[in-house]
Amino acid sequence: MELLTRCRLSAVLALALLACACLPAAEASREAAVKAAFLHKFTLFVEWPERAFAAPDAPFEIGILGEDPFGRFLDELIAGETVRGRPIRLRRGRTAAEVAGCQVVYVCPSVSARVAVEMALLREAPSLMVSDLPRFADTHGGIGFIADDGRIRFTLNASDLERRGLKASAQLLALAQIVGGSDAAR
Amino acid sequence: MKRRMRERFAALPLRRQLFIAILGVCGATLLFAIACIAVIEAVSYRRALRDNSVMLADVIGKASEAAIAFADRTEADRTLAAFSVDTSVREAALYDLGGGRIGIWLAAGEASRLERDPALTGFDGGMLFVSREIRREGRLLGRIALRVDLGGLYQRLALLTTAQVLVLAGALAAAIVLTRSLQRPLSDPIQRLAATARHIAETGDVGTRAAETGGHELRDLAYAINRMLDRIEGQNRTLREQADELRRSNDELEQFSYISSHDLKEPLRMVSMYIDLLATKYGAALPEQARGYLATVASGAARMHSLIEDILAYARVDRPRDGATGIALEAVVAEAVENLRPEIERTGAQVRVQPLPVVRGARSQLVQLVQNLIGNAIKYRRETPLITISARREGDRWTIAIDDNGIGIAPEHLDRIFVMFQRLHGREAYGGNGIGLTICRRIVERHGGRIWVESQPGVGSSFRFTLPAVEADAGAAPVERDACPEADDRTP
Repeated sequence: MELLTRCRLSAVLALALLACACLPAAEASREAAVKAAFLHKFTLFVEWPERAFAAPDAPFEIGILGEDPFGRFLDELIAGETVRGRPIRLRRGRTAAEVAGCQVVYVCPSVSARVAVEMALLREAPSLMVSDLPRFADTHGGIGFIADDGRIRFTLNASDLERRGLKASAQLLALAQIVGGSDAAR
Repeated sequence: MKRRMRERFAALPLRRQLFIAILGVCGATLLFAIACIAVIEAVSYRRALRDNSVMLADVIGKASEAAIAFADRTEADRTLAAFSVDTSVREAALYDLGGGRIGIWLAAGEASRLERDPALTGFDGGMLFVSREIRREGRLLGRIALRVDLGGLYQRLALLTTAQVLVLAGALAAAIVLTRSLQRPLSDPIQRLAATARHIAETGDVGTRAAETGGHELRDLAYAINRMLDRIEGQNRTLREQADELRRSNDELEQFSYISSHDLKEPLRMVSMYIDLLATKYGAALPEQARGYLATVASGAARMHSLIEDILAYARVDRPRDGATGIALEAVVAEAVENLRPEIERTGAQVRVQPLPVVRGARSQLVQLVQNLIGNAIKYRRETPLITISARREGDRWTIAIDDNGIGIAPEHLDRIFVMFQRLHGREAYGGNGIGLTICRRIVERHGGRIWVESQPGVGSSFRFTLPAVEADAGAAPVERDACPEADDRTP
């Protein structure tokens, strides 16, 4: 009898712990969905130069550098979609070399340790860098996600985009918190 | 109801008809035009308002693309605030893909009615709702909705309608004034012509002429009337001349026959006298044959004398004087019967007289008329004569009938017998000169009537003639009655 009660107790405890662990996971999942949607929507408000594409009919590629936090979200979002006539593809890679040539590069949190190295490699690329690493846009350029009172906002390094030949629409600039001015510091 | 109105309209004077017609047409045309314009205005303004609002929604929606895409409420509210410049937009809202409201703008004092996207653009309950997609690069990002107040629209329509009603009133007033003078050249000539015609009809003044003015047809009408009047005048003149001629000729004829009869009688009297003398003085000395010759000559002279007498009598039948007294026919018949007493007694004739009226005429002539007819009835008998005299009133005349049971007249002779000297039988069978009925006809025609006969050979005849009646009331001519009052059912 005592054994049964103890087993039941531990089972309940285990479930409770599991639930607690899942909560932030649910939260995180909603955040990931929003970021994935934003990532896709950035493609509507930014213009890439011709030289960003290998060929006039080359697809539009979104590169995921590092461990993909989006799960299936991004794949479902971009399925069948186009950017100015170009079909959208996802490319996942571990290194900068693997995602070079993508018009959008999402830098996952897992790359945090070697981000500077990878960014240096992609310095000249006409790509939009997006990440939710802290102070990403300030330091490395592109767009950085920031959480603000439960809402997802973003910072945008206007001069970096300009340097890479990317044109951001005025509406996007109005929404973003403009940061940066100089190149990414080493 | 419509027929009565049409009858009433047709009975109006021409002037009024023209007035009503012109005004009616003007009014109807104006009303129709105004109604059409009002409808077109309303429709087009609504459409314009709708198109404008849709364009506005699209423009502002375009400026809100990023705000919707990135669910930025602050930015969404800010872009919607641009609607404050348009006073008819009362509310605007932005919705994301899930239909959730991202941004809202409300005009002062308004309550929100756009919690949810109206989904369709259209007019509903005095408001215009606009709902438009917001797309970028063909990709649906969300929707924008507007609520537009139609107060401005209605105000404008009311203004327009008021203006149009004023225009209508003004136009009608102008139409009334214009119509007054416009219909004058149309109706005046017709009225003048009508007045002239009425004047001629009432006064018989054929000397008047209608004025030949006005439109083509009116001129034709007036011209035709004037030519007719010319003709009538001419005919009247001719008739007058002819009547004068006839009267003169008649007078001359009467005078001639009267005088010549007298002149004729004189030598005849001489002949008769001397034949008589011859017979008396030398008759015994003459042989039988010579005496016979003398008798023949004497009878010839006597016959000629009676013929001349008859012609004289015929000539003496004058027109009865106007305003002649009323004659009681019963007295006339009584006198005629008295004159024929010898013949009546000799033949045993019966004269039945029914109630007879008073007529207008000359007494002596009427006596002669009746006497001739009764005399004929007795003369041309086949058995004991039975004569009936009756009268029947027809309008303003009396028809007198003298019926007998004599030998009758064959149908082919019915008209001939009234002609002078027409005898149907030899003088040996029935006496007379063949002038009696001619005298009867002349007398009846002088009295303004007519005489005819209906007959069946072997049965009898009915001589009928008409005479003018006399009203037996106060103011009528006094009646002349005879001394013998008994006049009916008299048997000699």
